Amino acid sequence: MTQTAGFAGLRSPPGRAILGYHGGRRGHPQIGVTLVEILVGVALLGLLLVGLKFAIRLNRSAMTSMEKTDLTARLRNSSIIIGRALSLATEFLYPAQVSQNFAHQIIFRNHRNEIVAIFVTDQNVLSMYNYTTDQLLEITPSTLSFKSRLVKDNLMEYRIEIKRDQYHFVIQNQLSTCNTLP
Amino acid sequence: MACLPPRPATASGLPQPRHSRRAIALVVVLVAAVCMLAFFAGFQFFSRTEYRHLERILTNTSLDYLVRAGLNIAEDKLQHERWYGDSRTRGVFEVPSQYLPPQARITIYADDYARAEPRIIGSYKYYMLDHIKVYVEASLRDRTMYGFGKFIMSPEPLFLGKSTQGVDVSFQTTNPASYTFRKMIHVKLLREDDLENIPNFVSLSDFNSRKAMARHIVDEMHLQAKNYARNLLLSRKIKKNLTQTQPTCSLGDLRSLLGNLGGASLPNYSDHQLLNHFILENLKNFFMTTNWVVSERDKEEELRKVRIEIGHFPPDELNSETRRAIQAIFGPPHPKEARPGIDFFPEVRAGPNGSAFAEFLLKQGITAPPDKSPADFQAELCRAITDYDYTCLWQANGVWVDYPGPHGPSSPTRTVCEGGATAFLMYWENRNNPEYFNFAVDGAGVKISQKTGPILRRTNYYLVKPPIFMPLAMVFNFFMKYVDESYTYIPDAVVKNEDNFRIQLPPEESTGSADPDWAGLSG
Repeated sequence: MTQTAGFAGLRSPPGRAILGYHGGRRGHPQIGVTLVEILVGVALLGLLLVGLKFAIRLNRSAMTSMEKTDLTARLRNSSIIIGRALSLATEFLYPAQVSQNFAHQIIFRNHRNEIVAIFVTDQNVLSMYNYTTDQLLEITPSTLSFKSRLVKDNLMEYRIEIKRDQYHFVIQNQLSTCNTLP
Repeated sequence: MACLPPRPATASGLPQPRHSRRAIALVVVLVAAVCMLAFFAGFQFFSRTEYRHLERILTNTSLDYLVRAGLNIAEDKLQHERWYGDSRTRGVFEVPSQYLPPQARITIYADDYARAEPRIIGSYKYYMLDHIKVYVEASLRDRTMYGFGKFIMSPEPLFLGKSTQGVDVSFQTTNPASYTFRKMIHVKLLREDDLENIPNFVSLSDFNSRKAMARHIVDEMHLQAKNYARNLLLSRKIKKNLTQTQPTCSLGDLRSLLGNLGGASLPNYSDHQLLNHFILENLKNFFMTTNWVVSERDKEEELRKVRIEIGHFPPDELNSETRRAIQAIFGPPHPKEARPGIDFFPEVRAGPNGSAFAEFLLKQGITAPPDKSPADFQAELCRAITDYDYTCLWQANGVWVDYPGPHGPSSPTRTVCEGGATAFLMYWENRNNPEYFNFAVDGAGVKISQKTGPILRRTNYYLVKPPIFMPLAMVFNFFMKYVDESYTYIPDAVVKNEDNFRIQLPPEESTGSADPDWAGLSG
């Protein structure tokens, strides 16, 4: 404003403050921007920032959802692997007694009558170990706990608890075997 | 626009285009919009991928249950009858869609397999049904999963007809047996990836593909029986001694835990021994039902009700003359007699060593599975010698007609072949006595012919838990089906009728009338 005051006879139209050098008697080109343009620019920038913030929030939310979905998928996948192995087993060996108390492992004979254990390693990886063939299958990392109990004869219940950062999920399932032997 | 100041001139004197500055803002907006669009598209893409991933997992879970449901439906149907069995040896069943979730489908295939050797029942040889192979194809949306099971029965039904009930265990008639053990065994689930390992597999609707799948699974079935034998000791120790575990443990700790429990490893058994071990151990725990889901306490109680009995056999009525006659002909230690409690066991019950079958094995002196084929072992174990038979023909030549008395050279002689054991003994004991025989006659003395013996008479053992009374061989056969895959392949085109699966036995050849010059002696 102070700069424009020096130019006699040059007036801004009402409501249109002219900023910067915008020509005059000496014929200099008019390169300034109006207040409205600045406001529009600021508004656009604001919108852009708001949009970006929204986008970042959405992105974070999407990442969260993805992580949650990923954890859920991992849990479900673990349950499928464990469920399939247990449902074709010939005998549950541990826990062997019907009880309300939970144990921390399941040991059973699989459909090939090999001895298999499901347990959580000291690195918190839910794993399935075939003792007969000495093969280890790592099922899910970040496993908080694995619990099991024999609810009825030939009905095993298991519970997998998984935790990563602040997310904490639990899956529980009960199933019986179909290749039982006397 | 009239109020706007004039546009600044460029160096060339021309006015500078007014939109150049605003274009910057427009570009910024456009870039921002494109970024946002790309971001939302990406977000949607990831969401959809995650959803698909989750949907796939859910589909897999559902497929597991659909396949198991298919196998359960098949077992339930086969417990009643073979729904396809009137004329065909193979059947298909499509589970009605109203019982299934949308887009789901379950198709069941069943193939009959005949026993390798036909069995004589009455005056015919019949093909028997060895087992039924069951295949299930379950599909949901774009994914498919497969199931396999082997439906076994003992005693075996006729291959003809559609019954899954075994025939009368005496094999005198084709009437149904009073009880038949039936069960679906070797249940296995296969994913589409698993089928890639099966050579020549095209589709379950193709019989050759089903055969290829069954062949692929057979190896695993045999492995199952062998692993059972290998891991039995450790299994028992885990069940009995493992009472507590830690929330987490290292692989090394788990290995040593199981290793310490394992104790002594199984002796180096041959394949036959491993298969026999599987059969024997299951027979020890078998309590005359195929519903094996009971508590240990109930199982022990049921096992105590089971006993082993020898079947009915006629008593050996050997009189003293016949005994002496056989001893004279065959020499000591004949005639042999089957001794109860040594040669056969009239009744065996559960005792301190376990079930009746466990006690039975100990009484037989079987402490380790024998190294012979399960079929040979079955024939030996499931019946006992309850009698020894002897037969022969005899005649006394050159016997003085009026013996014992003074004889002249012209006194008449005769050939004697009557009088039973008493007469035989008299001539036998005087075979060198000239008062009885004219040794001037050619061939004078006592002659023995067609000497046969001892002929072992065997009687079947029965496993009894009233009201079930089943030959031990039939129960043995039930567990043999876990490890045995010998059967007769019946081509798909063969129609089930009596001409194809029943063979008339030739009439028994007449042995002719007994030679009147010889007397029979048996006992």
